[in-house]
Amino acid sequence: MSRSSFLILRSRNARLLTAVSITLLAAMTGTAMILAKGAVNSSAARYRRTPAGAFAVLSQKARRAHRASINGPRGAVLATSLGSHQVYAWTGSSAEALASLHVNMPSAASDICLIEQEPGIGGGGTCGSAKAVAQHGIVGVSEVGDSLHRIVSVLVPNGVEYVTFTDRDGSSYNVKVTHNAVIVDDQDLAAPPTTAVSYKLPGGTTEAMPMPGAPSGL
Amino acid sequence: MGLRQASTIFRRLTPLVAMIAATAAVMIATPGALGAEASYHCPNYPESCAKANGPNQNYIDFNESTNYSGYGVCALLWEYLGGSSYKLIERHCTPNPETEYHTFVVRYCPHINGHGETEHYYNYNYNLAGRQVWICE
Repeated sequence: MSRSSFLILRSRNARLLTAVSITLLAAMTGTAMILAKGAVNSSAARYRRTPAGAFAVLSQKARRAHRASINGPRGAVLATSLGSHQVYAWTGSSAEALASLHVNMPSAASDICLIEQEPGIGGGGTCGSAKAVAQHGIVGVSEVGDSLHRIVSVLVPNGVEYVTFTDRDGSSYNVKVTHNAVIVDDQDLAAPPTTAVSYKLPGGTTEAMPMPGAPSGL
Repeated sequence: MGLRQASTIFRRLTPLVAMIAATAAVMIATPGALGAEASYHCPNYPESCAKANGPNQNYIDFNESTNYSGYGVCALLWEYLGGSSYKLIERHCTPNPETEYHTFVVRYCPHINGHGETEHYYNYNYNLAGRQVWICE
């Protein structure tokens, strides 16, 4: 083989090697993109299937939008408010919540919480297993101050349009759901055992709940 | 040739790796990054705590489910008035089943650390009977 033939062959091999490399790289990139897309789609599908997916207010978009707020509990999403009272929705593992709030409590459970608070003062709320909350919603009753002024807040899954409140005199009224939540300031709600709060779930089931009785131990 | 290139890449990457390691070390050492500023006044939680017995010492009472006849649960915040007197200043309840739901009280203590900063005290029920001392002085 002459020197020129060897150079031509070497040049051709180099070009061939380059072409093969580019093809391989493109194939690998394509495969990676397809896999990544599949992973994202799979993740999205998985998210929709989780109990938290039953609450639009807990969607990743809503949570991202809320990150800038500093008034609410960490990771919570402001759903609705009434005067100085704010209602937040929160989801995550109980252990995660407690760790972020300086309380050590081992738990692997996934919760959805309804938090009612007045910024800078305090508040409280209710948490339930994500599955239970997705199936039944949450009713939270906050009573604060000398007169134990009562504020009722409700977190309901997607598809619940309004919550019905019934007063002691038997009259009732509907409040439209905003971002999966409702809050009312009503001191005349029906006393137990009469149902004071009710709402119809998308599956057709009606949740009907009484208010708490007078506190004991006073 | 390959060794030279590898050596060059290694030399270029070393500062980057060092920078990442240093940043991680600073983040871990920063108070608060991992909840290092935790200040909790009930070290034996979730065991029941002693009833508050001094000024500014309030306590949270859990598992007051009798008002729902075994259905639902409340978390109560009592204020200590002196002697053996206490006053209920806040109650958070849910009529949802206590086996699947729990309640908590949140209070903000604006001066807890002497700097006017806000501290959060979230206290969870977790269906545990008992009391939890809560101090905001």
